[in-house]
Amino acid sequence: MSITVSLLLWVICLSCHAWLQPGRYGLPPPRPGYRPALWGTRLLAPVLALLVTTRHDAIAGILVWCMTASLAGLVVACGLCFGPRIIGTDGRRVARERRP
Amino acid sequence: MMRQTEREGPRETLRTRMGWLHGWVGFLCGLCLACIFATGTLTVFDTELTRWMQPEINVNTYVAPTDTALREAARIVRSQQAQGISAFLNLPSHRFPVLQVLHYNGHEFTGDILDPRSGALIQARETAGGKFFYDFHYTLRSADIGGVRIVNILGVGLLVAVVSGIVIHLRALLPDLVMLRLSVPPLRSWLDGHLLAGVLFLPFMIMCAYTGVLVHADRLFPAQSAAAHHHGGPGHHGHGHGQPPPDAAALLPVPPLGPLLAQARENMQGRDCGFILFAADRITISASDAAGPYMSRDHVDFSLPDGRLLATTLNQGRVATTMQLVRGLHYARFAPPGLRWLYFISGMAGTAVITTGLVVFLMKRRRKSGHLVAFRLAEGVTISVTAGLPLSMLVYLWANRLLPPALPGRDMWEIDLFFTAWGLCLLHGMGRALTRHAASGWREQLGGIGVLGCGLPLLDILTAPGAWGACPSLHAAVGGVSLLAGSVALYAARRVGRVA
Repeated sequence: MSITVSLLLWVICLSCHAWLQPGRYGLPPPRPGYRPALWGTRLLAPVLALLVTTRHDAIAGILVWCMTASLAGLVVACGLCFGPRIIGTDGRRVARERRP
Repeated sequence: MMRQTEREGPRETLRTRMGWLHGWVGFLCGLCLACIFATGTLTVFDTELTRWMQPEINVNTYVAPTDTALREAARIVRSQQAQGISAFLNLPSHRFPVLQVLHYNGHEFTGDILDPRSGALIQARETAGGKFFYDFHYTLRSADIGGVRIVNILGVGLLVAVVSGIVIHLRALLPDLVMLRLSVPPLRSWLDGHLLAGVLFLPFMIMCAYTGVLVHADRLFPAQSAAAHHHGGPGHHGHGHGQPPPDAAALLPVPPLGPLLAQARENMQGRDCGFILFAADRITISASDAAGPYMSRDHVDFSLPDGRLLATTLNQGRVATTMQLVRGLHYARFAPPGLRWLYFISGMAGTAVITTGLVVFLMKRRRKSGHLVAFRLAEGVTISVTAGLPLSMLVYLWANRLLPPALPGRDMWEIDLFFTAWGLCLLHGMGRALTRHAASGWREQLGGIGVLGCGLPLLDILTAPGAWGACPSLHAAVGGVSLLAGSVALYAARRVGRVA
């Protein structure tokens, strides 16, 4: 259970991380008001994940925390790679057309 | 402006030099490290693999061994010791719920399997099982200290490659944390893949390399004797091969083990017992490796034949505790199933970091050096490491199911088939690379993985239907992983085919 929660929190954290650099990842830029929230979430989610994972056993918890971070990174990277993209990494609009 | 150029000059020089170091150390060590990492990844589930490879074992849930079973096991241990075999007793655990009378055969611990309820001998097929990958992982199957030393030196090489890689990629380390682009030129995509897995799994790779080197740090020095190799390793339980067997006449009878196990557990702060060593005049009950992240060799000694408590040894102290944690983290025997899967996935990713690095190294040099024989040989070896090794692993598993269960020496047959398949892959890869058909070499070996990987679950169902019914999760997991590996390989083979 703690693995799932930690993984989910890390996915949220790394998604925020990507969204805070929209040009680099070809994402639509977040509204100016959203940026502090994204910053906060990026900071808070790993702390929450650490609390959840180290609740019963510190050593195993830290291992789970680190490994779910890595795994979540892969999940987010694949999501960004295969998901819809609005802006190219060079900053130009490249809205994908889905062909039948 | 001038100041910035001055500042960037040395930084760029450092990056260039580190790039050279990362490339060459990474490639030369990486060819072996990929094999070490891949086999280490399978070692995370070595016990489960051994269970999969012995479908005759019909005990699937943990039960504490009965007095009858323990008495029978002690009798077998003593009779083997009388024949000069250094046997010991491995107690049932949740991962492998049977009693085992084991001895070290120079590579793995092997021996008789007993039902923990009745003490009856289970006639399971002879196999090295997952322990073969464990042995390969840290000795390269060398059977002496040389292999351990090579693995340790390569571990240091991995640390060098990792640190130089961090220096090269330092600026983009955090911003590019989740960057993967597949729609860019192939070299850039491969580099993205290498960087993505490399950065994300950096903590795991450093932890594995560092703890792995530290566990066998003493083996780096040439004065270390082969005897120490067999006695010192955590997996060797300090009773290994080469130890003079006790004189048969001096072997004292063993009292009932049940009460001694209960007392040993109490003296070891409630930790489970892992194995029992039988000397001529005493027995030693050691704590289980699965008892916690601190992998100690805490034990309780009892005298024979009366079973009187002699001593309780608890290895405490800062250095001892640190080393216990280092071992515990590397061996991961304490890990519950979920964490074990995370170790497995991280190990796969670590292997992917190394193999993508090998591919990137070759791609970068193909235009300039592609015509050189040395380049083609390097490409052939890379094919046999990246695709040939998984293919050979699958051949090992197929051999386990296809060789007759009663074949004498079938464990060696399985291992010989593994190495034969790998040797053929090496010849095939080199042949294809030397004749400028490297893409075909990749495609054919990946296709082989696809066929064997996707076919393994079917073969398992056909050859061991009873085992599927008795322990479906184990067989589904092995089948699922092999099916996934086969599917990925087939997809990759298609992609290579398109590029070619």
